Amino acid sequence: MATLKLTTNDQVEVNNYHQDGNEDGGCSMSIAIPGQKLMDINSDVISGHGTYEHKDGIYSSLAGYVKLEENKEQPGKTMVSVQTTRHKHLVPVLGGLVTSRVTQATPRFCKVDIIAVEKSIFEIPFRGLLRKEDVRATEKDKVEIHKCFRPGDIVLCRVISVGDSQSYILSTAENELGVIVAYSEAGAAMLPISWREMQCPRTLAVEFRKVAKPTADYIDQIKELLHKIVIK
Amino acid sequence: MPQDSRRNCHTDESYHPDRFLSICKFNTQNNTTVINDNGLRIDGRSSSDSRPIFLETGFVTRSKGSSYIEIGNTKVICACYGPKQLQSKDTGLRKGVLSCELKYASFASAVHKTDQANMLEKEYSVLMVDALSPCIILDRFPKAQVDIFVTILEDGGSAFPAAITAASLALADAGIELYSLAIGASLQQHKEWALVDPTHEEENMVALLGECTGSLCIAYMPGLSQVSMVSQQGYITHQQLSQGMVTLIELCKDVSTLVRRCLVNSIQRKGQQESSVGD
Amino acid sequence: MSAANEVRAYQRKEYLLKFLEQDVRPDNRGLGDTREAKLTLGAISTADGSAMVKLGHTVAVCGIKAEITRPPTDKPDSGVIIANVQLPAMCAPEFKSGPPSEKAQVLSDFVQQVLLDTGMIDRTQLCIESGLHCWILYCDVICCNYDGNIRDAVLLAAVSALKDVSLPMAQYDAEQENLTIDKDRKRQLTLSCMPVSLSFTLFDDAVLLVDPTHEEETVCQGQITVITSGGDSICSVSKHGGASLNPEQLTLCISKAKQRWCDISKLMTSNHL
Repeated sequence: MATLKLTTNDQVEVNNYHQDGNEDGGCSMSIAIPGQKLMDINSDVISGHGTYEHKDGIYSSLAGYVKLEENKEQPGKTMVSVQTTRHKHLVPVLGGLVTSRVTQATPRFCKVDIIAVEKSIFEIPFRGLLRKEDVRATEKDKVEIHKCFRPGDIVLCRVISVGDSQSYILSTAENELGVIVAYSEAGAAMLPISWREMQCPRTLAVEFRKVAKPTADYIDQIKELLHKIVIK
Repeated sequence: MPQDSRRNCHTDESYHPDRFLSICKFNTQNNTTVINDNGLRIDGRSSSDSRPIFLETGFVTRSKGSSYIEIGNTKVICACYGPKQLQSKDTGLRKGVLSCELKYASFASAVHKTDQANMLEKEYSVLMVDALSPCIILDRFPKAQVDIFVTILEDGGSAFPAAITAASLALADAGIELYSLAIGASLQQHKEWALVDPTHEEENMVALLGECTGSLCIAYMPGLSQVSMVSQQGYITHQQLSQGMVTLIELCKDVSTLVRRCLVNSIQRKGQQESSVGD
Repeated sequence: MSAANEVRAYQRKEYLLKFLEQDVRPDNRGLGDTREAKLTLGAISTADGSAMVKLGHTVAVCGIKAEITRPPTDKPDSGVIIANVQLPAMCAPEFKSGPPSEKAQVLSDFVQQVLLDTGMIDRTQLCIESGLHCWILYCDVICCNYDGNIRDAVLLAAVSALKDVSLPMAQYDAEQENLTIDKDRKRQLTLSCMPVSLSFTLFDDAVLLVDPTHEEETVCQGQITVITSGGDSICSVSKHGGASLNPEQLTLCISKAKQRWCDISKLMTSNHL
């Protein structure tokens, strides 16, 4: 048989199914594949990420490592989940934080591409809509979009509605939310100088933005994320 | 032949060389029996034997998940993209949508495939959506779409069931939540013999012989012990059908242990890469 | 190009620059290093000739189907070769399903031109009976994984698949006006030379990157392709877009392309054993 060997590692598996059994021993305990029964449903276990309940059992819905941990909200209960190396989120979730890039700014709203949820980056961005009244929590009527966002800015938002089939509805009406990366007209990454102004380090020109003030541990998360976005 | 400005083509029609085989050769080619006196098939297998399988994940590097499967001479590549935002306005707001496209390479079969739309490809694409939709937890990605693209590089028989197995492997590799994997398997019924995992020659030859024959293809979800798709063509008795289902489900279970091993390997490999990057 | 894409490209450029400042590329190669090339001949049994080429992660598979047709009226003594390249939606996120994209058409044309213009194959050996019957070779290249430098991959796949072709013997009986084909006896094609291409791209109008990955191609401008066919002969030099190239750089490209020919030719012979 001519093998194409399209793959990098040349380990060829031939059909010796019958001697297969469960020989991968300890590993098979911790690695689950979709449809594998993890345990029976009982009052002490909660089915978490990457699992589903069916009839009387909890089954895995992902291929990854099985993780058992105590549930923080309900002490004494164990949460069973399946962890993958892949992104945790496939689509933007309601109430979740998303990183997006402004594609279009009009006097009434901004159109954005949602490029990441928490640490998961989307290969193909989802469309989002940031309306004028959702930009700020106070003095909503005084918001001027062009003084808050420009196309190309990277903005941290919260998903407030799944919206229609066209786009998710987003909001930046929190101190922690808003522009995190913006480029000046000279093309340099600007530094925030107040909650509404950023300065270009090259020309020292000041531009208006709705600047985010992320919390310290969030900055760490964003750093890692931004590095990945830059790679993309 | 209608000219296609987007492809290079020749102005004249062309014919498969088999049209010009000398008459005596042509006859001997069709006279071989499907099963010889010892109960063995042309390639030496017994009627219930399947062929060696090679499985691998993740070589279409920029896809979300991908797989390559080789069963005998059959070679199938599958890649999975998404979930991405739905383009159409009205469908599937609450649930996700699965879309499949199966294509044969022009050199995959004995006869060169022309560029015209191929009915078989369309039929298989639709069947594939039917076979795979029940396995995917579509509620987890509302108003989004997952795309599966399959290319059959070589059809050495049982290409469609191989494509189903490949697709579910690619979905699992992509980290899309599934109720279960789906494993495909087929058989060709020839008189009293049920030829499991038929080669392309067997699929064609049995049809050529024109006797009471039929084919059966299923997709089986080993995790839930459910059958997600059955497609039967030609002539099969009721008893043969139920017997065939039992045989194929057993084969699917066997194949699923291989798929499982392939997934476990790929997870361990990814884990190692992660830790080496971490250092 | 939308503003958002511009920013993205800008950021990628910064990222690549960080590597290039240290004379290394994101995949740990030196600036002048090509990726590892792998070649498998005859992997597809339904084709009359086939080859699978891997350049790093980029994978192209070529299968050749031979059929019988009438020779072209202007060249009654010659056979026909038709090359097509497919970039299916499977191979990368940016490709859509449907009819061949512009990129695929350009690649098809590129392969077709190289196969015919370099004279690597004397098409009279495909003729069976002048003006009546000849072989037509459908060379279809499918890209299975698109990770940059697809030109080199598809050309190498097509050329090596041609090398792998074995045609059944055909005989024409002029008295009975009958064409017979004998599948049991086969012959190989004679190739007069083996064109091998090597592509480069330009980063920041100055740095030459050989055998670029997709990631590099997206931030670099211009494409330089040099095709050599062994010894001192150059089949084609082409440069599309991007910044100007000085003569020293061009000489460097050509010498690298010659070296590439030797490497590929070794790879090919080791596969034929």
